[in-house]
Amino acid sequence: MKLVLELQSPVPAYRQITDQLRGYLVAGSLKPGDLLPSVRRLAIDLAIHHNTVAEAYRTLAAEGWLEVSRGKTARVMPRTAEPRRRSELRKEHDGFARRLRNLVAEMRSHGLPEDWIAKELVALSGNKGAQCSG
Amino acid sequence: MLWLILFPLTATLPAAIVFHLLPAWRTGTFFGVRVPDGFRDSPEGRRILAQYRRSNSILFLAGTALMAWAVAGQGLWILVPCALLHPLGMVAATQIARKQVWPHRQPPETQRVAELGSEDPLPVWTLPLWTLPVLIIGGAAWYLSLHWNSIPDRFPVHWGIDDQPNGWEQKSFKGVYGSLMSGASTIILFYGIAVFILFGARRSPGDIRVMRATLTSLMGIMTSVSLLLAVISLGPVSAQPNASPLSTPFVMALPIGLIAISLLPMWFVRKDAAEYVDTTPDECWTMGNLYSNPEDPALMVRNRIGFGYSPNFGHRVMKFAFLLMVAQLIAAVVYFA
Repeated sequence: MKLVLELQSPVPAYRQITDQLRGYLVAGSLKPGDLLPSVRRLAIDLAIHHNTVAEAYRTLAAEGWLEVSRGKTARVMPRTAEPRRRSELRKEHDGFARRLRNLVAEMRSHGLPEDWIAKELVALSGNKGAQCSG
Repeated sequence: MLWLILFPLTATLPAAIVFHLLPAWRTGTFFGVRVPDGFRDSPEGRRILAQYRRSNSILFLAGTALMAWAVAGQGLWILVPCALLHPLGMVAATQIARKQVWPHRQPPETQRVAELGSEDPLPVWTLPLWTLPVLIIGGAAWYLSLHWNSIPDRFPVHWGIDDQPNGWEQKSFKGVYGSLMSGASTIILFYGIAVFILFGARRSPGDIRVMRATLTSLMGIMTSVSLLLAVISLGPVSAQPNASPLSTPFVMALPIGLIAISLLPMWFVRKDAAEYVDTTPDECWTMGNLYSNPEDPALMVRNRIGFGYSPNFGHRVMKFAFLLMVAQLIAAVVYFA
């Protein structure tokens, strides 16, 4: 499993790390109990400030994916979906749908063929791991 | 007469071999500059390399001849500058080559890759081997303390090319344990370097095998140095305390042996850099191999020229470690002076 950081991307570095780790967590490549590299180790490997890695770990910890210890090691936590009201879920769904539409529009504006975009969306919707996101 | 040529050759030949191999050792960089694939084999790349290697041959021959002339009777004061001619000349040749390569450098890397759950660069079974240098030095010190009464009041510690003693030491703590203390001081330094590489260098794809090879080389050098100094320190309690504990051919072959030990593990991984991406900015390297980048959290980074690792002198921990090393060196010089 690799973490790739694009320095010229408009997406901040901590967000790139968070998104990729969340991807592995959702897909089940990282399982409860697995240990992630320490903040210091990942900062050295990616040649970035340790605060950037710590921010990414804190974000995932706040989402319930990780338990970050004082020694800055991170362990993957078992994550269960909390029962929520349908209206709450609907509101959240609308927010994600808006972000997804924006992303698809951005892909189109970069000239990506429609069938590629469609294929990606179909593949994502068929991803079993995505249903575990709670 | 033969010695006059062989003696300088023990110093200049290993250096000439290393200088010859250095530019070709790493893929991706050429004289410390990141270059596009294929630049090395381009007419310009070949011309720069040929010019550098020509300088190496000329300086090797000149340095060897001057050292032979100095050994023949000019005295030690002239031997040192003669010995420095070759390495200093090659530093200059490297800078000239680097300047010629610089316009062809690649734009900085825009992607960084880290491996989640990378394998351990130091397998558990190798850990006991790291105690060998301490056991050797400690064992020799223990043996000397057990045989303290049999150590003569005055014993030789240095021998000339003719195997006749030319340096003596009194029976004292410093005199008897001096070589072991310098050995201990050296291996402490090497342990420090090993720890910095293990915990402070990147373990990105393509790094682990090189890190393992570097650590293996360090361990080999530490063990060889401690063995050598243990043998020297046991001279006073040997059956013939006035005889040199090491034969002259052995002493002359020693630098070549040590270099072979250090180069062999790295030789096997020299082409393993396919996955390795050098993320260090060109501007942070001085003279091609001195790295200083306060924004890089790594303590050690892969060398740009040749093999092994360079310290990141921009990191505050490394600045402190460097000061500590200088203090250790000064303390040793003051103590033994």
